[in-house]
Amino acid sequence: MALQALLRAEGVASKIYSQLPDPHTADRTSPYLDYEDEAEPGDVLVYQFATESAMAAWLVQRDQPLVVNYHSVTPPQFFAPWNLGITQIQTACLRELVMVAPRATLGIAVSEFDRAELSEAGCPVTEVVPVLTAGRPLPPADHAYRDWLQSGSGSTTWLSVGRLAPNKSHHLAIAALFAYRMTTDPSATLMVVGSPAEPHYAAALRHYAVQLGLGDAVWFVHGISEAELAACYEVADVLVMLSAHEGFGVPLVEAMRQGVPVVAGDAGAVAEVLGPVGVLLSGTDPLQVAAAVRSVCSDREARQRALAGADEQLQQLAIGSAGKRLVEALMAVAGDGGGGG
Amino acid sequence: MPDNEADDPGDPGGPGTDHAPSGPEAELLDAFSRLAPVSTHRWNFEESMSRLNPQPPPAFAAAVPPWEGLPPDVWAHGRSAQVGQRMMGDVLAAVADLLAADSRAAASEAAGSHHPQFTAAWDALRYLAARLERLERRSDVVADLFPDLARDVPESEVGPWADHLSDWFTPPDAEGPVIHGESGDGSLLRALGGAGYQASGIEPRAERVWAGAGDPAVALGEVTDRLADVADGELAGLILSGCIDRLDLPGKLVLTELAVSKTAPGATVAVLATDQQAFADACPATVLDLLPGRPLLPETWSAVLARVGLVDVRWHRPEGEGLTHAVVGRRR
Repeated sequence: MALQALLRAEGVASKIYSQLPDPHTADRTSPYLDYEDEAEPGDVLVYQFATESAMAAWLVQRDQPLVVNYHSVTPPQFFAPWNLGITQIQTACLRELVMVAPRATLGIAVSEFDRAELSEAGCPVTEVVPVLTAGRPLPPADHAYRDWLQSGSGSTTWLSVGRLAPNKSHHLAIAALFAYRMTTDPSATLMVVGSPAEPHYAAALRHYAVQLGLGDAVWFVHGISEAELAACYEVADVLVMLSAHEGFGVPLVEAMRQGVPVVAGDAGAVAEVLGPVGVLLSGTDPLQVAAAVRSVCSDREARQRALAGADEQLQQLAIGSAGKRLVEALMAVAGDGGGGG
Repeated sequence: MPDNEADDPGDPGGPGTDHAPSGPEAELLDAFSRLAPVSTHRWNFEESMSRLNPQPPPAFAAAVPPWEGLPPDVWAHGRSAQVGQRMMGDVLAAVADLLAADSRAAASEAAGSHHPQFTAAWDALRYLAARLERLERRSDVVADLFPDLARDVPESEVGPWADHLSDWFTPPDAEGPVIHGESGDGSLLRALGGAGYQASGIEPRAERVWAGAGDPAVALGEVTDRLADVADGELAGLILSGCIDRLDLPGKLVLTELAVSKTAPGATVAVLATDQQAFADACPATVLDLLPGRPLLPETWSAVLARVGLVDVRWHRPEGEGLTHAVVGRRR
C-alpha cells in the first residue's frame, strides 16, 4: 500500500494483486489471476517476496519485467523445533526464491545482508533500499500508557522488540535478564513487545520466564499502538536485540531515534544498521549480555558512547529517502522496457 | 575491534573473548531448548496427522491430447487415400478420446474407492485427539492460570538428614551417581559429595541452580522430566523431596515408578516428605487450596514404596523440631 501511494504520487498507475486477500484491504486488491485479462503494454510487475505463494510459479512465466522486492526469508531451521508447518513453508519459500530470482530484472533488498541472499539465489541485478516503514518516526508517546508502564517497571527496564518467533531469540534476553538480576539489579524488568507469531515459541517464552522466577519481571506486550510503542521506548533504559537472523532490524532505528542505547548481538544485518552506534556483541551468552547492559546503564560515559553517532548513522542509512529511491528504481526498470504496474 | 563494542576487559563474558557458557549458564540456556515441542508425543502425533492428511483425488489432465487432424501433406498422396486416411484419422481420434475418458474415470474411481474409509479413520483420529486435548486441559489448567504456584510453597527442610545419608546409601565404591531431586540449597549434595558419592541434583528454581555455580552439577528443570532422561538402572541412589509433596497423587506415583526403573538393583531410594501439619502451617491458605497435591503420610509412603517393589522400607522420624520424615527403601 505504501509503495502504491508513492507511485501514484508520481503519476504512475498502480494496481495490487494478491493470492490471498487481506480482509482489511480486500477492497483495494484483486486476485492475481485477474491480471491475465488486465495486463497492458509497458507494465512492470513488482513482487513483494515475503512468503511462499502460488504467484511465484505464475510470475516466472510472465513476459513483463519483474522486480522482486525481497523481504528476507527466515531460514527454516529456526522453526524446525517449534512448528512443522512453518518449517515447510519457509523451505518452500527458499525454493521459490531460487526460481524467481534469476528471472527478475531487478532485485531490491532492505540491507546488504539480504542483498547477498538475493544475489546468491541468482538475481542478476540488485539494489539496497531500506525498509519503507522505518522512515516514519514514531508519534509522541501515549502518556497514560507510559505512566502505567513506569508504575510496574523495575529500577532498570529492558526492552526487546520483535515478533515472538524463534529467530528473534527473545529467550536469550530473558536468560540475560535473569543473569543481570543475579549479578547486578534484582529488580530489573523486561518488556517484550511483539505479536505471538509462532504460538509454541510464544508459550515457551512465558513458561521460561516463570521457570526462571521472572513471572512478574517479564511483560509480554502486543497489539499496542505506535504511540504506546513510543511510550515503551521512553520508559526503557536499554533496547536488547539478540536476534539470530535479522534482515534489517527496524527496532534498532526506532531506538536510535528515541535515544535509547542498544545492546545487540552481531547477526544478519544488525551491524550494518547499527553502524558505530550502541554495543555490538560477538556472543549472546547471558553473562556477556548482562555485562554489556550493566555497562550502558550504570556507566555514564559508556552510555554516552552507546548513544553517540545515532543521528549520523540514521542519515547514513538514508531511511527518509527510501521511498524516493524505490520509486526511482522502479521507474528505471519501466523506462528500460515497461510502464506503470 | 569496532568502537561500539563493550569496553569491560575485566568481565569474563566481555565481547571479543571466547565465552562458551558452562555450568549454570549452560543449564539456563538448555532449559529453554527443552521447552521446544519437537519430539514430544504431541509433536509426533501432529506430524503423523499432517502426513496422513487426505488429499483430494488428483485432477487427471487429459491423458491424450485432442487429435489435430491429418498433416497437410497427406493430400499429396491421392484423393481416395486421403478420404480413407481422413476417415481413419477421425475414427482413431474418437477412439483415443473414448479411451482417455475411460482411463480418467477408472483412475478417479481407483483413487476414490478408499476415500470414504480413509476419511472415516482420519476423522476418528481427529476426534480422539480432541478428547485427549480435553483431558490434557484438565491437568494443564492450574499451571496455566497459576504458573508461579510452586514458588509460593516453602522449600523442604532436608538439611537435617545430611548426617544420615551414609547410613542409607551403599558404600561410595558402588557404581552410578546419586541424584537428589529437588536439591534446593544443595546441602545434601555437598554431604554426599563429601562422603565420596558421585552426586548431582535436579532443581526447578533457576536461582538455586545459579547460586550453586555448577558444583556439584545441578540440572535445571522438573524432577519428573529430567529423571525420565536418565537411563534405566543407572542410579546408585535417589533422594526425592519437594516435588513429591506438591504433585497430585498420580504424579507422585509416576515419580515413584520412575525411581524404581532408574535405579540399579541394590540402590537406595529415599523419600523426604514434609510433615502434613507442618506443610499446612507453612503454606499460604490460598496456595494450599490451589495446589494439586499435599504431602502423604510417612505411613502411606511406606506402603507405596513397598507396593512398587522396594524392600527393607523404613520410616525415620524427624529429630527435634525437624519437619521432614524420611522413608527409605532399597531396590531388590
